[in-house]
Amino acid sequence: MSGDCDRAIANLYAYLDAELDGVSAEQIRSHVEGCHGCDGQYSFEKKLLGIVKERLREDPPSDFFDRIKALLAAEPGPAE
Amino acid sequence: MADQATFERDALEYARPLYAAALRMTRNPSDAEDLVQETFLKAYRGFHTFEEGTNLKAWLYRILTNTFINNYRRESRRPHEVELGDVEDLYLYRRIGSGDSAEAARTTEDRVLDGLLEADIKKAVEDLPENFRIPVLLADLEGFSYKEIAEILDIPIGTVMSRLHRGRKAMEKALWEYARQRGLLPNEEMES
Repeated sequence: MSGDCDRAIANLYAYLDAELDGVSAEQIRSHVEGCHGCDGQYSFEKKLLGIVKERLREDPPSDFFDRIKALLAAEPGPAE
Repeated sequence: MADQATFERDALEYARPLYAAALRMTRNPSDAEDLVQETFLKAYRGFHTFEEGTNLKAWLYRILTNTFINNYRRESRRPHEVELGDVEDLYLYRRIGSGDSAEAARTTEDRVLDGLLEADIKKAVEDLPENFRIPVLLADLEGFSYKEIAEILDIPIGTVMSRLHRGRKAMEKALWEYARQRGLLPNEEMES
């Protein structure tokens, strides 16, 4: 575990969330690509967040949109 | 001109994702639908205050989260101020296959990621205290940036980062427990 690894792990979420500036992101990317340990952790977290997103999706009931439209239609209209 | 047709055209597009977020906030389909309906009514009535060309999606989520926090929270007083204990980084990853060969570890990783059920993930998120759950939903379900989340929740970016990161770690800890209960982990030594 080097200082570069520490830095990569500390910035893991910021990197995966695309919140790092270009230079920092590039430094992390080039370290992770060449570091077996960090690469494994980054890939795992990325996959996990992808699965979380996918499995949190939810379809509303079929008449959900119609009910919202009916609700809005009954409103006098947005205030000016 | 902020008329009904414009509002419907632009805002209804977000009804489905708003419902998914509302369901994880209220943990109940009927409350979730009420929450989204109330959000749309408020948004519609206040559409004249929406600045055209700015972020409509973030504006709708701001109304949704405020409405939830003010009207739907069933937990006891100020539960959103609950703190999470510290969870180490990479909680789940570090418990999978440490000590095994790289190949065995990869197999376990895939088994865990494929084997965690939708219900496990939903429960892991729903069980997070609200002040962590909402940033996790906004980032991981909706893909909002830290800056957008800060604006939606009216908190500093540093707070968003800290809550989001700690919320995710706590979620991983819960997922590890579900993976263990489902027998997805290799036979483990008893932890001392």
